[in-house]
Amino acid sequence: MKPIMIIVVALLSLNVFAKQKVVYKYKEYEKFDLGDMEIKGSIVAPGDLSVKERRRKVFHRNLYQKKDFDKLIIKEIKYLR
Amino acid sequence: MKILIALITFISLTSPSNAKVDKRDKIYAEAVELYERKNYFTALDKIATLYKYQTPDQNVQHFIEKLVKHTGTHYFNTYKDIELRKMNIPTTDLIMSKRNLYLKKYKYALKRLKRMPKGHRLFAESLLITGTIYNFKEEYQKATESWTQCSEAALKKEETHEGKAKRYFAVIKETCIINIARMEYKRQNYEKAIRLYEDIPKASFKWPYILIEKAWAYYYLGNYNRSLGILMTYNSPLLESYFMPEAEVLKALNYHKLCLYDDALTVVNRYYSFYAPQSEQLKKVIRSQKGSLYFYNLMFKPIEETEKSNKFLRNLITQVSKRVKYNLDLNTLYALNTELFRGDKKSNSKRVKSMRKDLEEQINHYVKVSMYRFINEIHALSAEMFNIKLEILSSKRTLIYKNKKLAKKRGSEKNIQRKSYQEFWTFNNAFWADELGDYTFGLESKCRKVNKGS
Repeated sequence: MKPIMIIVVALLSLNVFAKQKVVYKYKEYEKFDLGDMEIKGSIVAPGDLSVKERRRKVFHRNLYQKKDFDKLIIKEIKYLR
Repeated sequence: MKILIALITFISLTSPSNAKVDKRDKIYAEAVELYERKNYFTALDKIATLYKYQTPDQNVQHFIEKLVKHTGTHYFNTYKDIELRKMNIPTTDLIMSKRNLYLKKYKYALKRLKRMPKGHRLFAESLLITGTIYNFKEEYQKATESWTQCSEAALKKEETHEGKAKRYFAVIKETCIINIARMEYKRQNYEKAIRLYEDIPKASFKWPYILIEKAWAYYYLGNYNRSLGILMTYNSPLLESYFMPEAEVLKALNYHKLCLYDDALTVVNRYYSFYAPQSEQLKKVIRSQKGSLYFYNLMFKPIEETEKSNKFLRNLITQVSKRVKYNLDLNTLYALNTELFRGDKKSNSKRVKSMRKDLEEQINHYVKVSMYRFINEIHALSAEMFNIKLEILSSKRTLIYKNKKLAKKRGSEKNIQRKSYQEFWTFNNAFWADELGDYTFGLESKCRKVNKGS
């Protein structure tokens, strides 16, 4: 029994590792006849011309502020002596 | 037994510690003699060097204090903290507390300040620093108390002194009052701050500097017209030397708040076209000077000469020359020269000359720093101006997109907000001294938007 099993496994593994030669072929030319194409639907024209207003980004820059004069208080002490 | 006692007495008399005491007494006696001969700087150097690493006794401490009255505190500027601590006198305590204040070591600063005797000439200044520390610690009640005491103590001294000393105490007094106003400003009590600013007389040295602070307070109160009016005071010929770059920024901000975008842009553009090139030119003038004491020498040049090289140079020199520090240093310089030129044989002229050189270098450095600080301020604020310009352009763009325009009205007396004690006179292109600082604009806010068609 054992020799048979070994032969089967060996054959299977040979089959797996065997390289198959795959040949890829690309289409060389394809033609579309647009005139022959058919689109189903109806043509609708807008009754009123309107543009939807875009929401604009509002920038809030941090403009110059003067919260306190602490630096000036120190500077004045330095200006004393 | 008798022999033993005699031996002990002999040893104790000839011991090195006794020799040291004798040497110290001798130096003290020499210093007193130098003082009597009016060689104050030589005397101070002699005695202070002796006590660099040892606390002097009370007698010597009083003597050093007496000397400092003549020499000024400049001598101790180069002392290390440990040396100052050893001296243990009010003058060095004040210097140490200032150093600790700059390092934000408030606890140590307060510890030194508490030791200041009430009658001491530096007492008011010590209270000024105490108040400052409490203000930074956000202990506002204590800060107000200290600054109020400071102004009272300085007033008492001001009344009993003359000349430069009187002016020094007046500056201390006013600084303490202004600091209370600044503290109220910080706490957003703008009305209260304005009332305190108004306690400073127009003739005061500090007055031109507080105008901008008052203008800021009005700006935050929403009274943009009054703020603009106060800033206009800087255009008067009397205040020509007090150009403040920040005043230009505040002007632009006020116009922006009133939606007077074109006026704001005019201020911004003027800043770029006039002040920025002037400051660049000033930088070039300053950098081109190679002399080691260029800035020191600049202070003694005639105004007409300095004015030629740059407009701001003259303004800066005027501002620096009015500061207390500069005047105290100048006093010390004159005192050093007096001792040198008197040529007393006991005076250590080599040491006095070195002290003079040291002081000249310190003045040179101080003036240089003031000038570069001014140039840096112009550059830093130009970035703020750019920000305002962007904001204005953005607001203008929004108006166009929304198909709106600003209200057309320009100005009227109705827009003037005034208190019961504020009189109203029209401005006729002339700055009268009694009117300075009390101007207001009557501009109508354009912020009310109307549709373009209407």
